[in-house]
Amino acid sequence: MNDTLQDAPTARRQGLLLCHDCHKLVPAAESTGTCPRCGAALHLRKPNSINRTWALVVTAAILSFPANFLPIMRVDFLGTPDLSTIMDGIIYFFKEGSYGIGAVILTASILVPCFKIIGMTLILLSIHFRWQSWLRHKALLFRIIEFIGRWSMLDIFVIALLQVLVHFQNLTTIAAAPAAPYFAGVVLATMFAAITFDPRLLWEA
Amino acid sequence: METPAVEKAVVKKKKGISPIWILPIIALIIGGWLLYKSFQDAGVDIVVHFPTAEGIKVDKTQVIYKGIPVGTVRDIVIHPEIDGVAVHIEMDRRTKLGLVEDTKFWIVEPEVSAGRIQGLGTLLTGNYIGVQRGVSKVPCREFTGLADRPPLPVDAPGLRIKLTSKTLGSIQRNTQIYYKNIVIGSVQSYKLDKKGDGIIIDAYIEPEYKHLIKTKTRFWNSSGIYFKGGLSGFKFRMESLASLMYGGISCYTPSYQFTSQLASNGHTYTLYADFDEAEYGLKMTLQLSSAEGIEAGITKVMYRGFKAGVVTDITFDEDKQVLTAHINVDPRAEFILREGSRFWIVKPELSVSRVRNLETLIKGSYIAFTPGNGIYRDYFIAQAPPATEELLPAGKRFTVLADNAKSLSIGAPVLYQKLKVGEITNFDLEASGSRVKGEILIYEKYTHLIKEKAVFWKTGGIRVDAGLDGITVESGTIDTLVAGGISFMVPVSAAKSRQAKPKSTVFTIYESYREAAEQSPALQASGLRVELKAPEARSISLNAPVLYKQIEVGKVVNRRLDESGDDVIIDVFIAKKYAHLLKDSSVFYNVSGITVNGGLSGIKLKTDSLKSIIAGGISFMTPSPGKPAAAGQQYILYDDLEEARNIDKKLISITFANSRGLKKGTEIRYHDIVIGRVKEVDFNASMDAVICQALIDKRAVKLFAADTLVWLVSPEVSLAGINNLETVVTGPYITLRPGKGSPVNHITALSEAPALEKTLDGLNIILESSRLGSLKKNSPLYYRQIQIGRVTGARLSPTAQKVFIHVNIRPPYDRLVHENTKFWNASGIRVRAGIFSGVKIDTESVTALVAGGISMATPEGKEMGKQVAEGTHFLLHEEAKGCWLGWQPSISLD
Repeated sequence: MNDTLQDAPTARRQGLLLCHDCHKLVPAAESTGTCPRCGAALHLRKPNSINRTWALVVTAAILSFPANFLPIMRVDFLGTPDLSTIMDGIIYFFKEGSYGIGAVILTASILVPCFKIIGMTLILLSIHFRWQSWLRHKALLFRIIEFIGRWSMLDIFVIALLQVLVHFQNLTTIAAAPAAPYFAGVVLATMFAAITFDPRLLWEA
Repeated sequence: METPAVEKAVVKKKKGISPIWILPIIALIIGGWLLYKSFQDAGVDIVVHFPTAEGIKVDKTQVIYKGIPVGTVRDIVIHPEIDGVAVHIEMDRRTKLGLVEDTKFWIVEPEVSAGRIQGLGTLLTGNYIGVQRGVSKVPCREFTGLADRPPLPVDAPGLRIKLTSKTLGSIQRNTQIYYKNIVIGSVQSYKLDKKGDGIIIDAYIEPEYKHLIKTKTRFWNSSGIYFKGGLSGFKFRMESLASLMYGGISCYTPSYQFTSQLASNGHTYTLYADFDEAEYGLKMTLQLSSAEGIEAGITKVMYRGFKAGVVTDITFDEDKQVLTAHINVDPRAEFILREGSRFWIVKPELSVSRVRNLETLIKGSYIAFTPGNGIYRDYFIAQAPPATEELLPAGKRFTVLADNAKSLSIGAPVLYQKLKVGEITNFDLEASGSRVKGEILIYEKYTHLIKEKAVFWKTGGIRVDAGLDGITVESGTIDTLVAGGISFMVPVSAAKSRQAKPKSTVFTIYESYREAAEQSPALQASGLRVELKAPEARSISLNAPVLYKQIEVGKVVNRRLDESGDDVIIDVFIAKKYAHLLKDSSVFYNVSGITVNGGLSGIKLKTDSLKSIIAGGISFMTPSPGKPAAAGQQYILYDDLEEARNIDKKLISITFANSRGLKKGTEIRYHDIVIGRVKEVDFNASMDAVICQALIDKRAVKLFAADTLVWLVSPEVSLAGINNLETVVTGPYITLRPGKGSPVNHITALSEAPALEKTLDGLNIILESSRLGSLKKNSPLYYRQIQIGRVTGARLSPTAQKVFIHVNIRPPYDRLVHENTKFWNASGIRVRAGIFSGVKIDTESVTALVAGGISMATPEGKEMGKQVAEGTHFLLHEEAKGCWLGWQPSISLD
């Protein structure tokens, strides 16, 4: 199986370049560096992909610490501030019996970012150490990461909405707390990591 | 594969690392900074031991210093011995320096009491922990929490004073200190003094009020209500309601001490039990032989009515067997504390022969004194009262007689205008035993007041007269209330009578002023008494008011049956001031109760005074001038105003063949003015007609003459119009056309309005026509389509060949009618149609179209002829000739 994948004819081997923007196949021999159709720069593989992805994954991993340990939301109820981290909120929902909401937030805010960071790390390590096994599964893993990336912003959207809606002066106000930008950073970093990664490198490792 | 004609790519190995690695580096820097900061900001963990953790929540309850959160409770642990809780608090790093040995923590709970509302914020946010930093320099991490807010720190800018008191009373921590009812400070703490027989209260005065506290300022406990009642009135003093519930301390600086020095911190004052005690600052002692009647706190030291001090305590010295009264003396009465001052106790003295010091009966005994003029001294021995058994003052004695001895006692005053002018010196039964004979002494100064005709009455006790118009409580002076007394007065009429002779003149003492007034005509109020005759007394009661234009001018003084027993005679008294209002022509009527006049025009409810509703009342009016009434004159009392008004009306009977809505109260109008009313409607003897009795105003009686025409006006609805519409609502009324001849009492009414209306002004002419057509009464007469007159009636000519139509032309249009004026019938529509001329429709007006009408035209110039006289006959043409319509005479209407 590995052999088949390794030996399968690829565009590269056929001397073809794929434009990353308009997906036009350009024979490498005729290439002038730019796509004849859309004018985008042409690369055989996403440039510097591994390096960039590594950097972004590391960033996400670092940022996930303040994102999870600092309070993400501040609720002022009758003047008493109540700061809660992401985990506090999830625990709150589970305690209150709202398992559904708790599960959604748990998935979107904790599991998905962790999954993305660990998954990307796994893929990158696999390239780095030229682990040739499970390539298909790794590809599937990457597609999942790419797909679910956008949903991690759920928490930030909830806080942003609440901050705008719950604004009753002295009675109750909700505001984003310090963790919010870090959390947003984690999500962005993982999303960019998925974008900069070129999955074809998995096979070429 | 052919090598494409492209330049060979130069492959360079990139040196260094990709710039994208800046991102994780930045993230690292941020992370590192956050870590550093959290380490930096990590709070100081302390433990505070509280007896209870009520209202404290982990991670919620904050430590608040001057309104700013400086820490948060992180954990609550129960002491292993279960005697309290250890509250673990993470304090703000910045408070580190303040966490010293004597820093105080306490739990702030909402407190709502009559005195104040505190910590209200905690109602919503939950309790919080208050903190007050200490002055020590020794850092500390473990504290013992206080149950309540600690006293203000020593370095607070206000004034700290100490108050000493025997008992704590209702004073508590935070009890407020008032100055003129304004809170100027509060009690911080209190403790027993070392010996344990007094209390030392630490009080704090707010810095802005510091200047009010002088060294001579006096403090007293103003908790509760201060009530002091006596014959001389009562005093009620209360500081704020809060102080009632919460206790309070008031202070004031006597005005003469205002210049004393300002108090300094730690100054000690005495806290007096009450205001009175605070007022009397100087102390003296008085040794008594007996403390009977002397009460601590109540008995006063009086000097000529001036309250110089009050007894604060009475002690008994067992060794010396003496009673000592401790007296607080008003500093202004300092002059009594002199060698030579004499003190004695004044007690009430009640004996058969004399009443003395009567006020002490109620006020209690008091201590009197005469000041001495020796050196200062503050202890005295009470002495026997000075012999002040003064002789009776000079005066004249008179003899009085009374039915009984009630209210008489020896020494009881004799009052004149409530002023004591003498006293009863003696009284006893008369020799016969039927009456009491007494002797009064009138002081020399007043003897001239006693005239031969003076009237005496007893003034003892209290008399209460209660009635609808209020309650009258009458009493003499307090003395007479208890001891009785007699009053006298000299009637105005007797003011110039001779002086009474002492001894020989005997006066009778009446039981009360009322009796005196009844028995002695001279005392009776002057006024007019008249009699009213009525078939029954109805609701008129004694003292019922007599009103004139709703103003009370007199009252009913008596009611009785007349000799025959048929009628009631009511005696009425009219005050002199109003007597001139009553004339011999006046009419009295009963105004008791409520009169309701209801009708379509609304309801009119009329009552006289409330008193007259219940007690009955009589009113009178004077419809026509007359001679002033004489005393005892007899009047008739009418049932009501209506009846009283009708007395000057004439009764005229009118026979109607058809009564059609005629009823009692139907108005009789002449020119729309009501001149009378139907009083009664009944059948005539033969039962074929109705006779109504109408009351006609006197001035209108002359209208009813032999040939007066009377008829009933009822609503009239016809094609021609609606007449007398108002009678649909108001009901029919009777009207009349006055006639000539001698006045009559009986008239037979017409069955309908007379056909011929008589008009007073304008020109009346008669138009002759072969038939009446659609003309009716009130059909209009037009001149150039302007209505200038109307048909007033129509009748057959005497020979019945023609119809005579009576027309009235109102001025100034009567000048339009001349000898050759033409009249034609303008009723209906004339439609002329021709092939060439088209259709022409003529009509005068819509009214004329429906109700019929007459038009007229007068020829021009000399053709018109002379103006016509009243009653001239004209011919009424069927229609106008063409040329008539062209006439344009010029006739001046001015």
